[in-house]
Amino acid sequence: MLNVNEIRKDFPILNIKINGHKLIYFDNAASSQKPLQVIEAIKRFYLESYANVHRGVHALSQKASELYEEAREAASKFIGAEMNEVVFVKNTSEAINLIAYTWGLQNLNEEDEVLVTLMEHHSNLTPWITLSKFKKFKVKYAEINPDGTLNYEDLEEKVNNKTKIIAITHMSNVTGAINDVKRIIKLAHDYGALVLIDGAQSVPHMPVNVKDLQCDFLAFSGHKMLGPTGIGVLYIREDVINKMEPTISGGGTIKKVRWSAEKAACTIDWATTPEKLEAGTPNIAGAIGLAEAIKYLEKIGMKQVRKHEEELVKYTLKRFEELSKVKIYGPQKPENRGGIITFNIGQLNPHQVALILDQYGIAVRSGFHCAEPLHHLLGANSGTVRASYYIYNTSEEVDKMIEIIKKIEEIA
Amino acid sequence: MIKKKYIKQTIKGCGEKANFIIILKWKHKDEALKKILEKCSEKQNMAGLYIKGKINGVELNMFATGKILIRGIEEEEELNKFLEKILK
Repeated sequence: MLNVNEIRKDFPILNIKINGHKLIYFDNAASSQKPLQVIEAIKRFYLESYANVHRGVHALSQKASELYEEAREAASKFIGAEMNEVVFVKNTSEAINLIAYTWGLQNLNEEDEVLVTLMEHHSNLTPWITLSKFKKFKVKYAEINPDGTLNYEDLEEKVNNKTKIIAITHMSNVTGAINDVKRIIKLAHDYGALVLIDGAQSVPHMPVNVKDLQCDFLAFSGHKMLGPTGIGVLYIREDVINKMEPTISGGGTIKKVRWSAEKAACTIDWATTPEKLEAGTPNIAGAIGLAEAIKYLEKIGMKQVRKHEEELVKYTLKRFEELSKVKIYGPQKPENRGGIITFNIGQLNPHQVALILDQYGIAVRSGFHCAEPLHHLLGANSGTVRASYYIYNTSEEVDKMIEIIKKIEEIA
Repeated sequence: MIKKKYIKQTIKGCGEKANFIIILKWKHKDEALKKILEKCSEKQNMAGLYIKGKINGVELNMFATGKILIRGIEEEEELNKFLEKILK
């Protein structure tokens, strides 16, 4: 059992008042709050150890480089990867774009197919669609079931020898549906295709191990897992990363640039991995903050994080049974969904509901949550309201939300 | 520009039909809401949660927090003209 009361002491922001009410922060799928430990680690770095990393011979640069690489080690261990397989990026969106415009650009051609699903966040749809216009490959879409879960049969039918990559979310940011990615990875590998996992919602909330999954790429963001904004992680399996040539290059990505007067041309020798994919000065403080966030989560234990959220979802679904006008989207069983409850109330616009909850200090998100195709398939053409949980949320907070929803039902 | 005096931010909410969420400047929110309410043809208190009103067929959902959800306007240019008019 998580000691939520103790955890909450590390998040002073949870004591602030919004519109005269104590903040209830249920917008964790968009971004999580930060514990004091993370804030202090970033502050300490700027106060005591700040300098640019790599190739600096002075002591401070050495110290900053050491902390930056320790952060990479922490991120690698957290997902069961090797250090040379972990690239620091800005966020999940950048990670997926990096794969599309580096691996995709170098490996996808006219006869090829990329398979995505209709439950993807726009960040895992648009890079592939856009690239397909230039490289002329086909993008195929696996269907979803009426409850928002993945239609595995449809996906299986759409994989073939032309499939070069399956890009799929581990956990839907709308319904919280958890996909059996292991099953999909095995299937893809049988056809020689690679698999990119969008772990933006899964990595912060449940144990994820790349060696266990056998995935080829995994992308996630620091800010959704107690870390700062502007830092994310992209895992690329060693044999894949070794073959990739950078498409964003410059400082840090290069071992040598040689001028041949005879050929009147330059030749490039790339740096080793993962540096060759990290052009320019990286987000050093962000990486250090992320490492502290990982340390915080590891101390709690990811199984415990998952269990806590599963219990909160179970409790919420039970309490929602008292409501007559609420429609919930996504899998009915808490074990099949993450800590996300997405709903609508009668004919009310989701923004109306979010604005009412905001009056009571309850922060939820409304709209399409950057997954418009999924909303249309679910019949939620005006969007949905999303309450998403994390380690510091309590059943008492859920009760407060239900109390307000009961009032909202009177006008719905 | 009357709009500048009263409005802190305009957010275009997603949805099949356009929704605009207007965030009023805190120190002028009561004054702005009063002006808008005076111009509303239909006013309805929605169980104390917010006030729903209409001006020229445009629906306004007004919240005590100084936020307004506007429905019935599709384009930003049209919205800006409307806001200038109702905040006059």
